[in-house]
Amino acid sequence: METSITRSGNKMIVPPAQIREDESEVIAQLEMPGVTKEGLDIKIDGHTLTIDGKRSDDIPSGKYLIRERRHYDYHKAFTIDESIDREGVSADLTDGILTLRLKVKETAKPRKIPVK
Amino acid sequence: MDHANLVTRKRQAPTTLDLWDAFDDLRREFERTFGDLEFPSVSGLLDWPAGPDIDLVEGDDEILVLADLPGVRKGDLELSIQGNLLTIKGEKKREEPTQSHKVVRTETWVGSFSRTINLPDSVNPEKVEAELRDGVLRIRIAKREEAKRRAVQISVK
Repeated sequence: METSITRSGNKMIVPPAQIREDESEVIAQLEMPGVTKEGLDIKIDGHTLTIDGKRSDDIPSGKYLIRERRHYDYHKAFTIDESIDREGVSADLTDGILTLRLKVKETAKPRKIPVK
Repeated sequence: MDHANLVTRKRQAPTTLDLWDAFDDLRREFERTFGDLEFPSVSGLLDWPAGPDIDLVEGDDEILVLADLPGVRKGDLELSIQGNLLTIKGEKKREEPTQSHKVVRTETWVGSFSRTINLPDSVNPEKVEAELRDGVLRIRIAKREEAKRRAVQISVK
């Protein structure tokens, strides 16, 4: 039984993520194995942050004795509010993990009010 | 006697929303309630595999093992082959959040994993190559010469 798998254009995986935050930034880490920098597309449009990742590893042909991996591209959309500084977003892709750092706007940070 | 101790306190609301924790709580509740009944099919119902997804592909000249291992570094990975048993062992780590960081949501797992798979008998365990790139592990194992598929021309007289 020869199986050939093709990457269909429509099917997508939502990459699993861990999100953490503090007063000054939000960090989102997404697992996207098989994606390189070139295959990554990150966009902010209004209140939506979209991440698209195309897998660049090839799909071998042959007889599949075990098949558990899902050979699909990745897509994830986050809603971001006004407190996120649109200009202060950085991204890093290492070992199949995308790390996004979103800075919180200065005006949105909690402020300490000194007592005179 | 401290009276406060007589009152069963409600568990504090979790500060982080973790879906798997919620599942785990549900499973514990199940086990606590139905544990004595010994439903054979209940155990493991809500367990989730803490291991990488793999593909095992048999080509004409070689066997390919592919595993998605995002976040696993070369140094945290240990591969061994014995006869036709291949073991992939490793540890998936995550940068620990600093004190000031609050984890809002976790869908990923970390920890050690080990997976042993049976390779076809046609493998030559002496000829193995492994590469870890972009979170994907790729192991190529050659087939024994006599096991390679080749087309033989037969001339018809």
